[in-house]
Amino acid sequence: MSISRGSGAGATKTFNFKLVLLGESAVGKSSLVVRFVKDQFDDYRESTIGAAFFTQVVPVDDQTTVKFEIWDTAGQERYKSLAPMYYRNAQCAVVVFDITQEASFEKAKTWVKELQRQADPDIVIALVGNKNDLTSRRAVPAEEAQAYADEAGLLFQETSAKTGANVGDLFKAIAKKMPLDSQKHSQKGGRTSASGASRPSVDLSNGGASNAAGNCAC
Amino acid sequence: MDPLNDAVKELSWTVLERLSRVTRFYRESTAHLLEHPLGRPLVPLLPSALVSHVQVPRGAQEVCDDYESARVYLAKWASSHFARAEAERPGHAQHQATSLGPDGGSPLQASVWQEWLAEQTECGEFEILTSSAAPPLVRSNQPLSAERWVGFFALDTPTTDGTRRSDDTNFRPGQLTVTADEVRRAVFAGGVDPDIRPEVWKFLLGLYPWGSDEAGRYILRTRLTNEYYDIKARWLNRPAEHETAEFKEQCSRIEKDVLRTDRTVSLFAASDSPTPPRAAGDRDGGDSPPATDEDTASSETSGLPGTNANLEIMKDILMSYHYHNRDLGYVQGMSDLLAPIYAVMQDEVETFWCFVAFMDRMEPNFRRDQAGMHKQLQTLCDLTQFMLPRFYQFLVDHDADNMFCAFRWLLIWFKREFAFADILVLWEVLWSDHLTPHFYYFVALAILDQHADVIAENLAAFDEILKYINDLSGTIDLSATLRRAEILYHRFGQQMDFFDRHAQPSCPAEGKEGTGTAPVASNVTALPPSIPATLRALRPVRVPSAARSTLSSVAQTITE
Repeated sequence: MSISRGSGAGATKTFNFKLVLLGESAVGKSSLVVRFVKDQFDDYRESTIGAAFFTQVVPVDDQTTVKFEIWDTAGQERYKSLAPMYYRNAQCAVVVFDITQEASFEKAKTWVKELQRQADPDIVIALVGNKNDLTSRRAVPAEEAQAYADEAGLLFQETSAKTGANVGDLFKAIAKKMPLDSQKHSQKGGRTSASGASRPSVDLSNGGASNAAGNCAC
Repeated sequence: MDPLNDAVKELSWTVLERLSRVTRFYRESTAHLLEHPLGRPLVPLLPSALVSHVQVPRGAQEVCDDYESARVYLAKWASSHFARAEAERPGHAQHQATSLGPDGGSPLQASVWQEWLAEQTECGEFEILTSSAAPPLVRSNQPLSAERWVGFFALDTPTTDGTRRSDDTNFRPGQLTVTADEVRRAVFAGGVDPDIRPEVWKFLLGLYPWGSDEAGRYILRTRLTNEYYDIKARWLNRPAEHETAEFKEQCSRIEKDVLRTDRTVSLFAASDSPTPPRAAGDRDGGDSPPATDEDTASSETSGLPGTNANLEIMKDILMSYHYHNRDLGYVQGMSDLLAPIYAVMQDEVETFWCFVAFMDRMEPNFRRDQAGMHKQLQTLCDLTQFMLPRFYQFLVDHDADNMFCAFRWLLIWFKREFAFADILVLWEVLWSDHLTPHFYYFVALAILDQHADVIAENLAAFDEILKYINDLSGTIDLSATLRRAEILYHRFGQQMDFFDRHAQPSCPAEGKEGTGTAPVASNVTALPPSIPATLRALRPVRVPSAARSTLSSVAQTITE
């Protein structure tokens, strides 16, 4: 992916959006983002502990670029209580399941429900069936996932982080779905000063209560 | 045109990308970032002027504005430069360790303690903290040798008059002839020689009581072996058990993580066996009909990459741990704690019990309510405020004082931060409990201290800080970090003592502090802010290792 230098391209507008990756453990969340950001794949990518942060830009058209600030989270149930601090301020979410694991699809549905209940009402959610290179072991029919996505109002894409199939398309589709007219997400001239649309306000208190005023809330 | 700006323009995204590749590549190595063959060609590409500036110049700033993460890489690079400069100046770290020093013109605000001090003294200096001599450092980087280790124990060797010492009825071969504290100190000082590591770890982790002798340990080994296989028998070759949702869930979780744990370490690298179509453990259950549990959870995850004999044993150990501690079960992160122990022990039974002992310490990290992690992050937060007040204020200003950037450090004791070989040394140093059982906080503080200036001057948001901290993985110098941690620990003790003395107005300060060395003392009009309980708890409270352990009833029985 080519990236313009910004300074000469004064006409380009860059929109920043915070994106969170959610889904069952080992469905390929980190692999998906690493494929998207670095175009790499590792069979033995270690589990994510805590969270990881990435950024990547997607050109939408000649004048418009979307920059995703991506929070990649740990998938195991035990760390579920940490997720709200990442999706609370997210404008988009990618909920991933593994097409060879029926249970991971069910898990994805619970994530979607939680997002629709707890996250920003305007959040754009994409449902992603990953590992579609393993079609011989498919356990979730694409039609079923598509029907669910339609019903729940989600974007849907089947991808393979391993082969790279549809990964770029997925993020491009999300970028196009984002509200690109809203001034609050825009930054002219490709500048991405550190203050994005909304900074994550992270705290570890259960239930997502806001930080105690002025002091450490860990 | 400023040559610096020209040079900065060469700092293209490609170069920065390459730097990031180097860091990732470096997981398996301890050497310095830019000393690596992949890193070395980068050096001439980096503007020399940049080398002497932490503050990234305006030209670089423009590049960085385009690519936010470039700032993170630049900051990282600047930091590595400082690390090298520091390494070249022996003893420098001693002075570098930050404390409640003068503000130094920084715009950042001070902590409550520093504010209190500023009220007490016009100059804001804090000489008292450096006036008392710090104890000499224990860290030496000299590993405990096999020879010295053997010398710690009573040996059944012939004495000069030809009799054997075992003729003496009070003589117990293999008993420690020095104190446990002496052994702990030696381990803390430099880790241990790899040859004796399996043996030393069994003592450090409490598998072998310090007071045991060779005969007692022999009995213990037998009992632990039997006990392990009893635990394993609760699930191995039990088709009915394998049908339970609990077993399937555990099996699936364990398999997912073990297959992606430390696969770059040679012991775990091979994929010479396919992922078994049946549940872990059945492969050695020859008398079990193959069809019995074909549809267990592991068959559902057979899309995963290949496995090998060592990984299969690790799966068995983790499944057995679930049956040993069913309240907790397997939680993500545990496979990271297990792999180094297995690599050292390479014995299923011993690895299991050492892992159990380690988990006795680590269990609060993995509890469902995450209370253990909350408490530790709070403690690290308090410690940072107490010891690195300006950096703490920076974190507050950037919504990063939740210390979540250190979550991975604390959860699995820096396992992902250092090369595999370094983790073995770090963990044995931490297990030694020499200065405090909570030395890991000071390791965390040392890493923060090392990078505080670079982070504060280059990074502007929580996400950047988290990325920077995550990306330190594989680049942290263990020896320098441990040295710095020890210095910080002593500083911490001095500061605690200082505030405690001034928290008791009825008890007048010692005479010498009322004179020249302590401008603070004569001006004290108010009590200092109280020190949180989280910090008080970091001071060592000596407990016998047996009291802490829930290891095994068996282990207790042979203690003297």
